[in-house]
Amino acid sequence: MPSADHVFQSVLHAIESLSGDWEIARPLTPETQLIGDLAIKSLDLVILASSMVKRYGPIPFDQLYARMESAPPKERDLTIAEYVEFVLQNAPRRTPATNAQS
Amino acid sequence: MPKAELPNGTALHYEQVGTGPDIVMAHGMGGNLAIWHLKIAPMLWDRYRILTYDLRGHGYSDLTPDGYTCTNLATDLRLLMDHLGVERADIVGHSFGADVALYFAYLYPERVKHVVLIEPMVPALVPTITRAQFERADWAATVLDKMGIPIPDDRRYDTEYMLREAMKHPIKWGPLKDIPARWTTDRIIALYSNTTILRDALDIGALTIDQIETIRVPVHLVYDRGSTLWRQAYRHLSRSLPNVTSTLLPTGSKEIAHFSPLEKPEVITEQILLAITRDGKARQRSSPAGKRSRTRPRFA
Repeated sequence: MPSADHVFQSVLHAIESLSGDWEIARPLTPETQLIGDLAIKSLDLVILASSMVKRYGPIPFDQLYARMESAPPKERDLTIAEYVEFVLQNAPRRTPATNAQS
Repeated sequence: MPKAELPNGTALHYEQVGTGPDIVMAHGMGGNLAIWHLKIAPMLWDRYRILTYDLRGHGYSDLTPDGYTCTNLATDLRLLMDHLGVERADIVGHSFGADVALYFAYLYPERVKHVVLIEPMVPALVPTITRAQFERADWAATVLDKMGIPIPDDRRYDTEYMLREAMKHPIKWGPLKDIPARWTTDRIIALYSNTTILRDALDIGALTIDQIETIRVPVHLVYDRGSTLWRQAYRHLSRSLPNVTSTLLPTGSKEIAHFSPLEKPEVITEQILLAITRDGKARQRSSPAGKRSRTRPRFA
């Protein structure tokens, strides 16, 4: 079972590896909003999700997307802390060794 | 993000997730690999290794000035599979990506287990009268009309105008649905305006009408009943491919036909599983995809 800090660092690393295509204006924190602050694209969201699945095993990100989609557009967002929490709650208890890629 | 530097000089962005037999998925023109990941890949990656990639010119893959024929793109896919050590796979394609998958099955049948083609048009089957319309993007104006983005008659062949109008509207599918697309779309506009993609997409190459019947690998066709522009391809492929099954899906009143991987991903997932397990036992699965679908395959 990964720790919250481990997942948080993984998310930061994944977002920073995406930032070659879009600029991050300020330091990433748990409160950073993926849509409001980072203007994340769908493609970036799924790349981020893939990096989590590779590291922690199958995670039902479709459920996260459905939850986001159900929120009113003006209120829709997700902080990094909320993202980390979703991964923690949904990652398999045992991380498959074959999937533990960076 | 992972990129493969292919021997032909093109770098392709890809994602490979999950464990199990390989499934490769190719998106359509103007799209990117995200269409598979919003719903379909998460329903499969506990049992299959899913390889999705951005076609050249799309997503985070290289934007090349040319090289967008189905033959070129099928070769890209072979090189990508070589790069990743994927010897043989089930291949799934949507729209232009389905054309690429069909060419891949024709050119490299030894690398294919099954092919699932969702709404291919197939260059050899594009009738002459629509060929000119396609090149001038008239088909896109029709789709945009249905999406509530009216295109004036004098701009129906103005690709850049249509793209800029489309990008003013909120996103249609996924977690960012109904949120205005604030980011620039210069890359997509460059793809249509500065490359040969619209001409290349109609290049028949070696896969002439007569050659279609030589494709022996198992093919499963999935079309929307509402996809009138693609109907001719459906009729021809379902009759001429020697090892084919096919399904016509109902098009809901609020759905945009042709975009079934986004409009009804659970149904498409079911269709993929039916196709790739039809000559063997289904793999153990926990996905409820099959229970959600109201459609049944109609085998040709």
